[in-house]
Amino acid sequence: MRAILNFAAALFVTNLRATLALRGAFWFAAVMMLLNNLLYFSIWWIFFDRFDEIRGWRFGDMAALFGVVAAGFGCAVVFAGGVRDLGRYIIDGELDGFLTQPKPPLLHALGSQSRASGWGDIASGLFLIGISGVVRPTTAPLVLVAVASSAAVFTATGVILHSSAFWLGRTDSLARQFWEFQIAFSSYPRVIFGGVLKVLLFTVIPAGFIGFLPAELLRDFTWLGLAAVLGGASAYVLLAFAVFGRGLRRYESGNRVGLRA
Amino acid sequence: MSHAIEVRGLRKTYRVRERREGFGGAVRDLFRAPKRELVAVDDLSFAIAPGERVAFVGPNGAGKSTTIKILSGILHPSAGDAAVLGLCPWRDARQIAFRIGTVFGQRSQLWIHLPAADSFDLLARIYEIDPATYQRRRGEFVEAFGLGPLLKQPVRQLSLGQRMRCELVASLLHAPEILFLDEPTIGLDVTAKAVIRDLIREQSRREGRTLLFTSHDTGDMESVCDRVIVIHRGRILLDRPVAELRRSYIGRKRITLHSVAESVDLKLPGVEVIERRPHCTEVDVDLKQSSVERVVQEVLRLTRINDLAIEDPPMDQIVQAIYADAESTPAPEALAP
Repeated sequence: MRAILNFAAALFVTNLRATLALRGAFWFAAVMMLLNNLLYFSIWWIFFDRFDEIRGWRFGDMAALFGVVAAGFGCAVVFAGGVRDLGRYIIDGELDGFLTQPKPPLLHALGSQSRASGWGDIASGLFLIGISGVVRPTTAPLVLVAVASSAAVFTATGVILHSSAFWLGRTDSLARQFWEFQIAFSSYPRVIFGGVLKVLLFTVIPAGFIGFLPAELLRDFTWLGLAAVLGGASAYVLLAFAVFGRGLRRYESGNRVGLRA
Repeated sequence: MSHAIEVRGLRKTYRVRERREGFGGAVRDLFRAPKRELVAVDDLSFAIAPGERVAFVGPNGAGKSTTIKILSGILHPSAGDAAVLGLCPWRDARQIAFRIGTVFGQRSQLWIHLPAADSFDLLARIYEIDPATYQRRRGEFVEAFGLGPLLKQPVRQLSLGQRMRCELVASLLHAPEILFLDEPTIGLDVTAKAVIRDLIREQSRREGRTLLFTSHDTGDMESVCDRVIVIHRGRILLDRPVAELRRSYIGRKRITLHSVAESVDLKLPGVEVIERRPHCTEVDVDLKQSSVERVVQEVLRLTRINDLAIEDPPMDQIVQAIYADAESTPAPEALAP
């Protein structure tokens, strides 16, 4: 376990160095994403300026929800940016390099890429959580739990969606669209959804574990809420490992020319 | 453990979809596409002793890369058995990974935007090499491979030959007992090829490392290996020492002449004109009858030349000759040494 943690830390440092090597592109992507998120959230600002609440949800709650989702997504693409390309790795045979090395191939593949724009997501997310007013000094560590579990569920669903390439072939662009589609569902208060849709948002599209539950944990901490957040994230992570491991048995490699960015 | 690699009845098949012709066929394929079984490796058996350098050659689609990928733990076979350093490659992939190295000519294990030194540092962590050993081995390789000035340059700024030297170091840092090389010289120019071949051979000799080397280039196997396994359509056609193969099948050269004169009329024994265009003549030379030197001297006597290329016969031609021999030999076992 220690060797794997050492490897994960070294992989992250190398990945970060690779991202920072293109300094201009890094700043451009990060700042643009920060502005994009704040501009998008300004709609909610205008909305709550006219209406006080939506079924009990106020501006601060929305800022916390949007902040958790943005920071969670940012962490997923910064620390496990390879998830967006996992389907392509599978189809083009780019897992070969990871499979011949003595470290877990999924961890290696996920950590082989880092998106500079993710830093903009993280910065905007933390800013929104900061201005939400729902976090007190005593509950500040919960921000880490909320963002980390959101990032874990984002990454896990990405792995599951992209692993479909093992069975169905070139599904990478569809998987990426569906993956990013989760952001939209996660960024609305759960009180506006009901019935079957609510069930779907805690299962097929795990928006509940990406946004609602972690954000509610910041607002009203309960031990049950914490257990639900951690339990949900662990379940999706275990499922992702299982699906990827199962798919790996069907891996067919390939001969496409490949370089590591 | 008597063998570094042992393969028994290895078989790998793929189920591939057959596309029907025309628009109607494409629509019908959407609902039900006929599938057929493609045999990539068919009942392959061979053994390689520790320290042996074996070329695994054959035309495109022969099954070379598939075999290497099975032996390095990337692919699971459909049938058969294999042992690499006494372990099963697809069941004990992690243990084997510490003891083998791989170089895939068409894939890189280096980080393209970072200097090679950063990739080496990460590989030291991946293979859990202790810092003192890592520094010592890295220093030795940097000197032997002439990487000093290149080490701090981003990999994307290196030439293909320089990058391949870095790839080799990356695969050797953890002192693997077996090195699998899948077309490491692909795309390299003549000089870079020669450098890479020399480095592979010298490193293997010095550290007693087993090599399994796939290539399309007969020059690679002649320069580096002492045994050759020719594979065609997933089956072994021939398994012999390289020296023997050279005597039997590589006793020819192909020379392309770009002459000042519009045509060159060579009348030497064993020299056959394959193609003639204005100012360009391509000849096939049987080295038993005429040496390259003699052919070049004769050309220079007849005309001045603008350019000259001397090449080994293409791998496909050699395989065809071996295949023709195999067809006329009743028992395939008779081909083994």
